[in-house]
Amino acid sequence: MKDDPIEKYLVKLEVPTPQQEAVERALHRSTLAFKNRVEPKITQRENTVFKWFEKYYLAVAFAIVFAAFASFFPWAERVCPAASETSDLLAIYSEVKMLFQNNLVAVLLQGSELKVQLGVPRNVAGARVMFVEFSRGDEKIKVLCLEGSALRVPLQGKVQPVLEAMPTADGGVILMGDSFVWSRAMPQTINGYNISARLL
Amino acid sequence: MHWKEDSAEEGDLLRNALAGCEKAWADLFRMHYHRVYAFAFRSGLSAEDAEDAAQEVFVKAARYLETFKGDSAFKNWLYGIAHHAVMDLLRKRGRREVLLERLHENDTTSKCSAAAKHTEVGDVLGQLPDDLRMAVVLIYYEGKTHKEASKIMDCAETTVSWRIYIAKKRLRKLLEKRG
Repeated sequence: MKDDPIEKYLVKLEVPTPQQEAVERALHRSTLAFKNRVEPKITQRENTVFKWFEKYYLAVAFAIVFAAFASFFPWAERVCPAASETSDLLAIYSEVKMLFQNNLVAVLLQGSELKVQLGVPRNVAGARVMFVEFSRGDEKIKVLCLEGSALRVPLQGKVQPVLEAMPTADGGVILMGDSFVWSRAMPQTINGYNISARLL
Repeated sequence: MHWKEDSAEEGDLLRNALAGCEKAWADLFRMHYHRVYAFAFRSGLSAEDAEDAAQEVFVKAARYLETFKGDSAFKNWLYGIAHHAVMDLLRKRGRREVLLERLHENDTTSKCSAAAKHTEVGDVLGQLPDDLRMAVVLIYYEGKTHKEASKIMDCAETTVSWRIYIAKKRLRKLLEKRG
């Protein structure tokens, strides 16, 4: 190891002897510190949570107070719950779309279940995502699809309709089956299900 | 508690110090003071600053002795504290000032019997950036492995290896210049 000329050279660095006075002073001061040494007060178990709380309790308290105040102001109500729901629905649709690419016709949400309707969707350039909801009592089926899609929705009842979802000129949605038409202006039920629909 | 101790004696001293025995602490101090002082000096501090740094290291070590968990050797724990103390002092003083001081020491005092050599090697080392010099001191003077040095300097082992590689390259150039 010492064959390296650099190592041989470095060895030449000698260290001066420290002054005895400085050594004694350091011993004296460190002994004083030793007498007043910090005892670990926190056990390992409570360490993380307690330290975090100890460090951030002021910020937490401030956040709680701020949230409480904010809820009383009118501007807080400007955040539309529908907007949040819309972005959630769009996110779901785009995630499923990534999985099935050009075979996805519709995404069906029923309770906690997510089903997909696969097929050959109509390819409309710039098509927007639509949301159609069928509800009967507590039962709700939410459908996400692109405009122009032919939906096969598993509704309980005699009729198993194929509904085409189309946008209207005023930004609404119209659903058309063989002998069935639904729009906001002409609402009607199908197999006892109420319908609501909108563009996302 | 089981520590990575250098000797049975050190293990006993640590246990006694943690139990509050002042004499055990004083013995630990005497066992390690010169090592810490030498480390501080070789890292680029003047003799006086190295004394101050060593004092600070032992004051902190004494104050926070309870936090020593024994997952490294006690001396390596001290080196970790010393590394921070030295870097702080170097930042405060500025390396140029330290170098001038060293030259001055050489002219006016006989602190070091091999002053000429010490100044020459010290000057060459002093021309390295702090982090490179610190790596050289830990590996070549203190005999640490790259892994131990990485823990002391709080960086990756590969960083230490890289610093040593660069430091040796620069030292070679500096030595060539000096003939």
